[in-house]
Amino acid sequence: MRTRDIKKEKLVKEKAISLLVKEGFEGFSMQKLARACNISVATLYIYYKNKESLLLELGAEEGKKMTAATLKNFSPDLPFAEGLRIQWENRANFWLKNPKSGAFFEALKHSPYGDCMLDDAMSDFRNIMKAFVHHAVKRKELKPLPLEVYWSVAFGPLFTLIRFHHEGKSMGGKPFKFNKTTMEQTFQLVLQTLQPR
Amino acid sequence: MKETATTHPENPAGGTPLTLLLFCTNIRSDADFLRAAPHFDAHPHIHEWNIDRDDVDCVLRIFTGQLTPGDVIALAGNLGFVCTELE
Repeated sequence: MRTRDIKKEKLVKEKAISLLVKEGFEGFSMQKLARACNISVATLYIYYKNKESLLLELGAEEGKKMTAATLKNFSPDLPFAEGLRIQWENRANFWLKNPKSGAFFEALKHSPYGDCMLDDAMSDFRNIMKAFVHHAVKRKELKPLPLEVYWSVAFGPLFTLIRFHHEGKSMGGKPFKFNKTTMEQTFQLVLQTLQPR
Repeated sequence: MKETATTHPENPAGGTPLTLLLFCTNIRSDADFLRAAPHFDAHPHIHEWNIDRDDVDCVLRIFTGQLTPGDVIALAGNLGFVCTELE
């Protein structure tokens, strides 16, 4: 009689992330996953009820990892500049170390399970971020801005640098490696833009 | 016990041991599902079942204490579906 094997389960999860990133939701199948793991499709269906439960479980686990890393040493009550700096450092640490996670979340977000995954895994995280912004605006440490504008300015530049790093080059193929000096220079510009004068 | 068999996590203590049977099917569309579901729901020897219609194989999972793969293949066949045991 078969029982769940933790090592095999870990392998399935790792391969599932890689496969979803490579093939997208439409190209992801349990057959391909089984082949990548060198196990039978039947074994996969012992572990998971269906493709949806596999991807939702993975999304929830990756979401927890990402939010835990992003919220390390962070509190929504922190002064804006200090809180945003911690956010930059935490996000940079996580996304530099986990290059596949970003692509995995994107693929899952655009799958039929995207809304479900985001609601379940991310609602606490979003509430903490909302509270941080709310407090900062109330204390006049942050300009009141539409959410999309705030997020684009607050984190867009950081994610652009991280993307350059993962690609190994910036505009025109210029070699690029993420470093603290570049991050700090960019962070200061973002802070100047977001804080009231 | 078959290679694909496992015990059901919610198998009630003292009850007949439940086996997981797995099949490739062509139960794909909503209409297919609605045609098959009442028969699986009402079957006295099917403890729990689901079909992964998001995946290419439309895998049917059945937890049962008494049915054999042949019984399930016949049941699905009688409903007009192709059903083969998943290797």
